[in-house]
Amino acid sequence: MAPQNPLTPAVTTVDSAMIASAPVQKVVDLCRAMSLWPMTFGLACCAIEMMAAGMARFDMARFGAEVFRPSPRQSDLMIVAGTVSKKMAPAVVRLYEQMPAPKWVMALGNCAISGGPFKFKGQYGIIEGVDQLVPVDVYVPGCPPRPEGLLEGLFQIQEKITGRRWWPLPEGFEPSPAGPDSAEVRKPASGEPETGKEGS
Amino acid sequence: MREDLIFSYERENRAVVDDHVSGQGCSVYMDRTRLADAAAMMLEAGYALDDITLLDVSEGIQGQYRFTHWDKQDRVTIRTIAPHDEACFPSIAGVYPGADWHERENMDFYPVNYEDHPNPTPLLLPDDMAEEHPLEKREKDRVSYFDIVPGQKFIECDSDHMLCSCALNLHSAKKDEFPLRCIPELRFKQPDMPANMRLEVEDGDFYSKHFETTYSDDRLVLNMGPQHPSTHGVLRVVLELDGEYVIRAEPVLGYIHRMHEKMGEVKTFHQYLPNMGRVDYLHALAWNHAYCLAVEKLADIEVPRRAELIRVITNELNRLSSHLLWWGAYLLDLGAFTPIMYAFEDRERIMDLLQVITGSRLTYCYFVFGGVTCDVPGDFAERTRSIVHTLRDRLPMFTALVTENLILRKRVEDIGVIDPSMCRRYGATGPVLRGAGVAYDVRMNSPYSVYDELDFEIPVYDGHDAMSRYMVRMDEMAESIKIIEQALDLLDGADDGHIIKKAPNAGFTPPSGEAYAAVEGARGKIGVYVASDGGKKPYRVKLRAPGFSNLSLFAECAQGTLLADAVSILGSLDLVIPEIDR
Ligand code: SF4
Repeated sequence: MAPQNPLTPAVTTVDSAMIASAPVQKVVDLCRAMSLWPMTFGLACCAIEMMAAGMARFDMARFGAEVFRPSPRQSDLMIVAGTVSKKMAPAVVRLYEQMPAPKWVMALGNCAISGGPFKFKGQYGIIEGVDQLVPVDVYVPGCPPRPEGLLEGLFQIQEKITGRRWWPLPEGFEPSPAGPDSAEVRKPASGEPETGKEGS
Repeated sequence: MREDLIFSYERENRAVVDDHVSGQGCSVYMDRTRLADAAAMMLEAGYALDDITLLDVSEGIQGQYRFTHWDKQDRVTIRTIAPHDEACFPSIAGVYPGADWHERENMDFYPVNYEDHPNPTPLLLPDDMAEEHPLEKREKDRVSYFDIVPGQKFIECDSDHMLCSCALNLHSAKKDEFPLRCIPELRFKQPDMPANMRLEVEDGDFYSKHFETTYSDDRLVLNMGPQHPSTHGVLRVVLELDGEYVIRAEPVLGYIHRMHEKMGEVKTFHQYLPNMGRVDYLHALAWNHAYCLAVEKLADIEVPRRAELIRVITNELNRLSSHLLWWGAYLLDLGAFTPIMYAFEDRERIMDLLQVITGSRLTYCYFVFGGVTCDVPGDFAERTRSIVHTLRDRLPMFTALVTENLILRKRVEDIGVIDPSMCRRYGATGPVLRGAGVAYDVRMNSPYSVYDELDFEIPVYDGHDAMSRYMVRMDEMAESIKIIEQALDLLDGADDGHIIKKAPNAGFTPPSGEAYAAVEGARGKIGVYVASDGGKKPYRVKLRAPGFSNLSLFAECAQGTLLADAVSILGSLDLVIPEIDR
């Protein structure tokens, strides 16, 4: 049961995998990364850009993440697209807890990252950043971020799951200074059950 | 002394006839004990309730009840005041059921009480904030109402006005006949619910705060939302079902309350502009427009003709993209996936165009006081023409593919009957009202900007059902295209600049006063009320969101329908939840 206090973070512990061997894990990771099922979780303006990303022009299906599920129990990627209000916070935590592990969270837009334009002295209604509630894997800034931004966030999650980037960088962009090697570092040592999400 | 003055104004029933400044045809001061009678009178005379605004001034809490008449082009404000130590008004929810939500919202934001309110629970704020009232001003921040509206602006009311003569009668007839019960603790107590209708609430259960059980055990209480794909965001509807039939549907709001009205008071006039792009992000420019119009009225700023034309063109483009999204999403709710792909294809074209001039794809902040931020580029007219031509060619395809589809028609025809009387009682506007056969459109009935020079029609359908609302929006797209083309023709001849010279800069302080501006948004009548005490920041900003009133009739409309039809009704109202919660 989700706690009453809106600022109580979600439970994030995960059981260990049944077959804990590195090659198997690698294959499983790849499968997971290439078929992420995001949850339809539109909160505010950013959700419209999330819809746009799923439509023909930006076509998230190219990267395997088009199966938007309305139920948290069928999805493994939570895209928090919009402002999280204090009234909504318990529901966000509950939805996160209802998602089967392994699961990832993308904070889409400034509101989900930090409260965005609605953060001011004396504000009474919103959570200043969804990472106070659930662990966030990728932050996509913008108000709203363009659909390309959402796609790039998706690539980063795929990189986080599998340890390497799968899609070419846009022209004129340098690879991130960390490089693919350090992605290995972020990844838990082989044999550990969970890839994307460690119990925190 | 001043306090005496306002009460004496009230007693003597003076009024401000300040259409030019405040956008009101007439406003009447009235003692609060007469409100219920006045409301009944207004309903009988055919006025619809727009909103109920509270203003916290040093004399007390002023209540402003705004009414509109659909044919008479008459906007009326009834004003009343309650002193701070007994802040209490009679509820008019018995007359205008739409007032229910407005009053609950006011109880959230101000320490006021509405006597005999049917359901005085928090609306927008979480339950644990019941004791906080975010819009209540601190003692030292309060100014007198006479600092906002200088005393000399009060003029004798035109006593021919129906309201004034009636109000005078009311005044003489009743004097303290019905004293108000001003007991603040009355809030949150619901005495008249039979005991067996209340559910035993288990402590800590997060969804069961407002539930009631029914007499019969086999009724099912179902939560739709706050995370549900067909509520278009984070609306929560508590449904009580008997089999597949909806016995009771109660929308629960506040899951995306973003403090816009509070921000109006903590930001300066300019800093508040970006908020207007985020209240209703699907038709952001209409909110831009309403707020700019209100402040321009306040500061008496004349907008150049070119800017007005650009405003109209961009506004209509934005309306097109909003209707397209509604169309796609509504059909998605009804189970058709393909149309939204077509809708987004056209929508993306419009967004690309608007992006060039506004700099963003969705949350536009393009209008500023005195004009628009930048002029349109040279090829704008050409590009716009080609886009609207493409769209016009595609509208018949939409009709052939979708509108004439039997499956769609079965889902929308004779579903969700909303008649004009219901619209009046709840204050519904926009396509909901026009789908009920009433030709009321702010662009036509009280024209702003350059709409009165343009030739367009107001689509009206008389079916009262979801199909009528659907058809109104489809036809409105064609009308918007017409408006855009005419305005583009006029744009060539207008070269007086996109913004006034000496446009207000960031330190801009309009003179004190109050102003109300209404525009027609994609969802209905958008109203912005701004009161200024001459400071850098607005003293009060009230946003009248069309979706708020439109959704408030859902409970009555969905009663007794099948669950699947309730979804269809919800979609036909075209809701944008952040606009409702503000
Ligand atoms: S980040 Fe901006 S666009 Fe996104 S939800 Fe917040 S206000 Fe809306």
